[in-house]
Amino acid sequence: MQILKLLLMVSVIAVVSIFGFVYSGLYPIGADDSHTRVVYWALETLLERSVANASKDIVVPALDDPKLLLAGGPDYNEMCASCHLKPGKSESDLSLGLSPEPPNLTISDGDHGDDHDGPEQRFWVIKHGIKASGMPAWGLTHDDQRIWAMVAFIQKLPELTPFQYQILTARTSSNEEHSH
Amino acid sequence: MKTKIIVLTTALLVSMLVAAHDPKEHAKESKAPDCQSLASMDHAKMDMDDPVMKAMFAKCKDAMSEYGDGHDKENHDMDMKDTASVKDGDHDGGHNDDHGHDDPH
Repeated sequence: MQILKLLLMVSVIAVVSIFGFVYSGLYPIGADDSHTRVVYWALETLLERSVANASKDIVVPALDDPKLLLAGGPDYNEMCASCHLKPGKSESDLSLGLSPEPPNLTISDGDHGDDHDGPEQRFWVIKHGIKASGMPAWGLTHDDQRIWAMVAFIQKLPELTPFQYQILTARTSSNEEHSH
Repeated sequence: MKTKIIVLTTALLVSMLVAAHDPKEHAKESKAPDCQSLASMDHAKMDMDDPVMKAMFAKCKDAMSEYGDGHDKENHDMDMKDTASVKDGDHDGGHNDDHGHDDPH
């Protein structure tokens, strides 16, 4: 009984301390000040588990069709490259300024520290975005077909040279006809 | 009547927002693809089965004919009338439902 009381007291103190800390305003919220390891771990774990759970039933279509690269390239360049970079570029104002730093999608899976790299997970993240991370929900304004095309392009991105990237991402009138 | 006007005005505003995301809007700001460099490269050394190469040649198809490129058009030519696999209905087909599976919450 005494142990139960002690546990209850510790729990109450912990909850009050957490709320007290949140209300105190002592946590540095500036993006130029990195999260502590514990906070970073908690946020990353929350993100990975949430995305894995939400995307587990998504059926991935065939993504090796060149037409998908043609459709996804220009969208990636205009919507994603400023944060997630492009071949030949290792940083940008946004990649440096955001915290946590957005993953560099020009390098292979795993090398940029993200574990949520499956196509179904990428699709989900692009479509729904991530709260308080700077990642918008593109699904509000872009249909699934366009999002899958972006996923297909991102799959190929680590292999692309700056020259290939330039051609694939240039938006032309014929490109418009093919992507619709 | 008032409600109908409000609904119609809202629908019009929403459709304008959607139009703002039309890819054609971006075309004005985009640079042309560097197809001249592609045309001048040695195509024999390229892997024409690579989807990246296929996509590059498809993108540059019109421009390369202007540059007088006569390389193996059968390999480069993609049937662009053919619809992408994701468009065929069984892979979302442009609908916003992720097969109704991705967001169980």
